[in-house]
Amino acid sequence: MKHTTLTSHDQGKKSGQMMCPNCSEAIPVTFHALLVEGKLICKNPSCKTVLQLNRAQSQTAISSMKKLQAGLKEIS
Amino acid sequence: MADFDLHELLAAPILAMNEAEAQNSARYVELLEEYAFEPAKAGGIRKLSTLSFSYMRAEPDGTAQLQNVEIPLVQFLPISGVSIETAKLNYALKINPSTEKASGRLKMLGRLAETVESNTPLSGNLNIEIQLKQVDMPQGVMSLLQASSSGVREVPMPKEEPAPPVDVPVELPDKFIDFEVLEKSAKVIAPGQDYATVIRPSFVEGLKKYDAKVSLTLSSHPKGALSFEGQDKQVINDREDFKIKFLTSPRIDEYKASTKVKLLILVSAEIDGKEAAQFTHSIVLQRRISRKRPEKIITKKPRKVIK
Repeated sequence: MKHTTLTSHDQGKKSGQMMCPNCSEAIPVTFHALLVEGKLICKNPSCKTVLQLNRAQSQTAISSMKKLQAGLKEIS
Repeated sequence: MADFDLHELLAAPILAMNEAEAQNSARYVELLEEYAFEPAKAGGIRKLSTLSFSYMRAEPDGTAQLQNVEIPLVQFLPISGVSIETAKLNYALKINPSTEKASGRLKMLGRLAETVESNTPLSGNLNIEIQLKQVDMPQGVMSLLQASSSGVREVPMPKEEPAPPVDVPVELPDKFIDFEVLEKSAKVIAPGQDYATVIRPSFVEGLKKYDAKVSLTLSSHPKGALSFEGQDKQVINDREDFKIKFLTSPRIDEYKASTKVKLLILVSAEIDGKEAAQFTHSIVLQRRISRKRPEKIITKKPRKVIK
C-alpha cells in the first residue's frame, strides 16, 4: 500500500515531517498514519515516541486532510 | 479570417500565460485558506487549523509526563505552487500585403498562416511549448510556515494531583520520644575529658502516624559544662542508635556539690514543614565530687574578761 507523504515543498523548511518532541528526529507524516492509524511513531530506535492524534481536538484539520486526500486521489 | 495588429498577435499568447499564472496563484491562496485555516467566523480572526497529539515525555527526575503538542496543519500540507519556467512560442504568421501606415506608425496586419495540412480543424500554426517548475514559496507563505512552526505548542497535561492532605490537628503527647541510654564511655564525668554516650530513641505511636521529621539539639546544664561535636540540629529516626560526643569543661569541679550536670536534649518534631511540638529530655551525668573539704577558718570570739 502506497502512503502519500505529505511533502509540499523542499525549499526552506521541509514540511510533511515533524520533529520528534523527545529526540528531534524527523518523523515522516503520511495521510495513512494520520487518518487511518491515528498516530505517528518516531523511527529513532532508541526513542520510538508515539504521538497519539487527539481526534476530538483536531476535527477541522482531519476533515481538511480527508478532503485533500480525496482531491489528490482524483487527480492522480 | 480577420487580420489583427501584429503586436496583438504576438502579445496574445504572452498575456494568456500571465493570466494563467495569476489564476494559478489565486487558486493557491484559495487552497491555503481552505485547508490551512479554521472556517471563518463573523468578524473574527482566522485561526490556523491544528493537529493535536499527546505523547509521554521523560522528565529530568525520571518520571514520565503526558504532554500535548499542537502542530499547525499548514506544516504538512502538500499544497505547492507551479509557475511557467520556460515557454517556447512558434508562430507562423501571414502578413497582409496591404500594410497600413496610420498615425505616423507602420501598422502591420496579419493573421495566423494556414498550415499546409489545414484539412483538419485541430491543426494549427501557433505552437506553444511550456515547461513548468515548482514555484518558490511566496515570502508570505514562508513567513506563515515560520510563524506556525514557532507556534507548535507543547501543553503539559494536567497531572492527577494527590488529594490535599486533610488538616488534622496534631495531637502529640508531651513527651513523644523515649530515650534509652545504651552505652556510656565512663560512669562518671571528669573535668576536661572526652565523653560519649549512645542513646536509642523510641517514637511513641502517636508520633508514628504523622510523617514527622524529628531532630534534636544538644546543650548542657549548667551552660558551658559540656561542649558538643556538631552544634546544629541533628535528625534522628525511630529505633536508630544515636551517638553523642562531648567534652567536659575543666571547671565542672568548681561547681557546688549540689549542682547536677545534665545533658539536655531538645527534641523537635516537624510535621509538613511546620514545628509541631518539642520537649527537653535531660540525662543527669554523675560527676566525681571532691572529698577534699575546704579548710575552715575558725575565728574564736574573744572571751569576755570580767574584771
